[in-house]
Amino acid sequence: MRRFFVVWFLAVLASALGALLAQPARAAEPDSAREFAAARDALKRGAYTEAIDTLELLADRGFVHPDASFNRAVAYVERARSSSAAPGDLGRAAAALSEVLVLRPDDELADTGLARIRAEISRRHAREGTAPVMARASLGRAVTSLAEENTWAVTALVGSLLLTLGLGLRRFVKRTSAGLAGAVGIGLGALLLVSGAGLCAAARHFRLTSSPAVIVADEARLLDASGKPLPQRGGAADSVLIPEGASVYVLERRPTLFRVEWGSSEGWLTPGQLRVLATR
Amino acid sequence: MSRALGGVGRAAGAAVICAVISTSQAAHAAPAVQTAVSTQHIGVGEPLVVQITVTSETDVQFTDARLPLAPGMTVGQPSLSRSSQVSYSNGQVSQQYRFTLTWNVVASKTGTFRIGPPSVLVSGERAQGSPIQIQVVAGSTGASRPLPQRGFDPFGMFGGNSPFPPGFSPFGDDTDDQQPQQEPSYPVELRLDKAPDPNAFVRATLTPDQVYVGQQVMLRVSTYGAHGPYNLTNLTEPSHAEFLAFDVSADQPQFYAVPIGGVRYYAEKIRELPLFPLHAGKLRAGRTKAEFVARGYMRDPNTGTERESNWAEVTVIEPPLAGRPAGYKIGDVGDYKLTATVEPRDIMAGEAVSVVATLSGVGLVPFKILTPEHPGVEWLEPSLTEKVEATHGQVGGTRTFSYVVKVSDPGKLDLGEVTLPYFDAKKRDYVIARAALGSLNVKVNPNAKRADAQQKPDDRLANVLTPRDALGAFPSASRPLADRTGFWAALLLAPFGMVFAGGAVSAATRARTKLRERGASLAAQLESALREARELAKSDVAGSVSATERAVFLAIEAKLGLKARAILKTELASSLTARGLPGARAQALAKLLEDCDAVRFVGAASGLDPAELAQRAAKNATEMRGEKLAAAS
Repeated sequence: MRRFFVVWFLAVLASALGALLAQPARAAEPDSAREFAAARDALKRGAYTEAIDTLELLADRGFVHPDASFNRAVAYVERARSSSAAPGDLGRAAAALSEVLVLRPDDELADTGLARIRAEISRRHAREGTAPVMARASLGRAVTSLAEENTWAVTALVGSLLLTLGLGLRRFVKRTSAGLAGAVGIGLGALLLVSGAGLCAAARHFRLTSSPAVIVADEARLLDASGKPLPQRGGAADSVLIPEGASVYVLERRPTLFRVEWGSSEGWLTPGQLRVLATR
Repeated sequence: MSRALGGVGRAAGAAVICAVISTSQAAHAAPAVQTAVSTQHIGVGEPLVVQITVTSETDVQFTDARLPLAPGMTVGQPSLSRSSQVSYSNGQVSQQYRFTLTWNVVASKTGTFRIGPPSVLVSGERAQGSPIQIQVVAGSTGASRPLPQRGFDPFGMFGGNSPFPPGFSPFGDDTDDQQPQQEPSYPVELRLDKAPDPNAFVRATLTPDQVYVGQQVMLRVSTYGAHGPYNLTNLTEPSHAEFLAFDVSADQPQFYAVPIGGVRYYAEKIRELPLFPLHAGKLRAGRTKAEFVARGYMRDPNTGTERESNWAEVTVIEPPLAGRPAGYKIGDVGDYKLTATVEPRDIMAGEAVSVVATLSGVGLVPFKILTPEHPGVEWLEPSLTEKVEATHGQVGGTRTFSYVVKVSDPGKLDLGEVTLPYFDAKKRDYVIARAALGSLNVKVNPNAKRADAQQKPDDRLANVLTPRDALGAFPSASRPLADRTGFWAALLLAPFGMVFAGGAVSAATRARTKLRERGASLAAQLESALREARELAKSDVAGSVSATERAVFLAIEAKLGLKARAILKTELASSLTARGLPGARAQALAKLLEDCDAVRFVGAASGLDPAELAQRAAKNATEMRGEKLAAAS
């Protein structure tokens, strides 16, 4: 009986870990690589708009790569610094860098660059007399975003295995020490299973029902479903005005309006005011 | 908007607004005021329609409408209609409100009179139209004119044409009898196979029905009435929220006789609006409300027939991604040419040249073209002049971009070209309009400042990011665990599986114990012995006989509680009878045991079949169970 239990436990453990198979690296298509190189050359000779056009076209064609997004951010930042700056350039740069971090979360240069760009946007807003507004995420998003969805999934799996181990020890092993270990396993496993599964389910729900996006307009005012501006809450403009570069989540898309969640606020924006981030 | 396109049930009433008398601005108010009158020659008793139209960029309030009249004239209460329109004009998207006040005037004596000026208080300030000179003659004016051969000309009332629409006669003459082979004298877009309403209806159409984002579609709104000419009041502007509208001056509407399903309708196009879809999808536009006012349409003395048009739909798609050039902006659809001039060609470093690029063609004429980028060359925001208009329903024109281009570096500079990538909907392909700019001779200017020498004091983004040279590898996304089949099941199955396994083991143990206990009982042993006897009957005679004998003793023990092996077989029958077993049964059992001995010792020569013995044992055991025991002797 004990042997059966050990074999069964190992089989479950192996199948759970098998779910975390090594992730293969993705290679770029030759055409896309050529256009990326053309955009890079344009960027280096100071043709920022040309580089932006090429990289945006790549994105329109569905080419998703963190380095293409990174160079797009560079192009927008450089154009924002030039005399041909266009409104929303910094917001678009922030969107591109946010995309890099979605695609390659450990990209430190993108992380640093995004922080600098957002600081610059906040500084400009402050200079114009508008307080920088960085909304806190809702409690649910804040908690689930503490770790990646798969981390919660693994936590739940580990909890499930611990619980299983504890139950097995309690049931099949008659020694007192095994019984004690089983009780601890049951308690700890149940805790990890419930919390991990709950947060995994919440993270999955957020992933499936919303898309990350970044505001690329100079300032975006939340609207109601009919397109009329939402009233300010408590007379505070900050409650309905979303600054350039802010992260939002798109909850619903209509042809002319997108419903977004920004911090604890919800409202509608026109599609041109935000850029939905490409995901893997 | 209320318009008197014809008199109410009268011949003169069928005349359209034929003369825009004047346009004037209110003294201190922004709204423009336009005055119109249906005709300047009317007969006594015939209605005359006077309108002023106030156009404003803001919504305004109207009060105290006045129309001074000459003696002998009467006028009813004016009707007010309001419409708003988002329009595109001179490169700007703007909203315009249009308010129309309509009076119906009837003259009771002949002569030349001056009426008006009509006026109204607009948000507290009086907006005033122009006075109108009219001539009132005895009798009717033109009501008896012969039917025209072709379509009705609203401006031809002095040229002999009838004020009635083609195919209509106020006297009930069936003029079609005189011209049975006449071609339809109405625009083809008014043609309809089936009328949605037998009395009156409003119809909106969008043509073509499938276009690209930015390609022109024409919205047409037409009204149809089956009971003669009518006025339209409470007319709303056709909706077109998902389109950019190109504002065109409306043609004077006119009635046409349109046969639909054997019924003649008075039909008129009340709106033709070039629209440009703003996004892809199934878009709709044209919802319009109107109230038909005339004899034959009145529900009560004050209320006409209200009708609302259908939604006109168009399928809008984006131009294909395949072959799309860099810099293409969604919505740039049409057919364009680009020309450019550069002056002067010889400059000093730090000076500027003028580049004038002219974009012309059919379509909405984009607002932006692509300019070349060179280090040391700065293109300032262009000033735009444009002439975009609708000709024969097709929007097109020119837009001129005047740039000031500063050049900071000396040398011979090839400026490159200005371009516009656009989608040609007819060819269904992308085209790039180009205009070469030629080269400049830029002489050294010792006083010029180099552009890159100018440091911005608050440039905090310098050197924050440097472009990456190559596409590196990055982990492709694996499917999240939570999306994998069986993840949630596995999560719960492991602990529940363990619980079930524990339960199953317990159940198996219990079952085994029970079986063990059951196997130890006399009945179970009897069953086992009988089964063994049957099974061994052919292969192992001795074993079978032994099992049969065991079964007999077990049956006796089960019935009487007597272990009969200890009794001599010769005394067995009497012993069993003494314990209450029926004599016949006792004899049968004793005989069975004797036969078993015979088989065991004699074998096949005994003539007995072990299987038959087993069968007899089983029969006796079964019958014994139901037998009652006699009192023990």
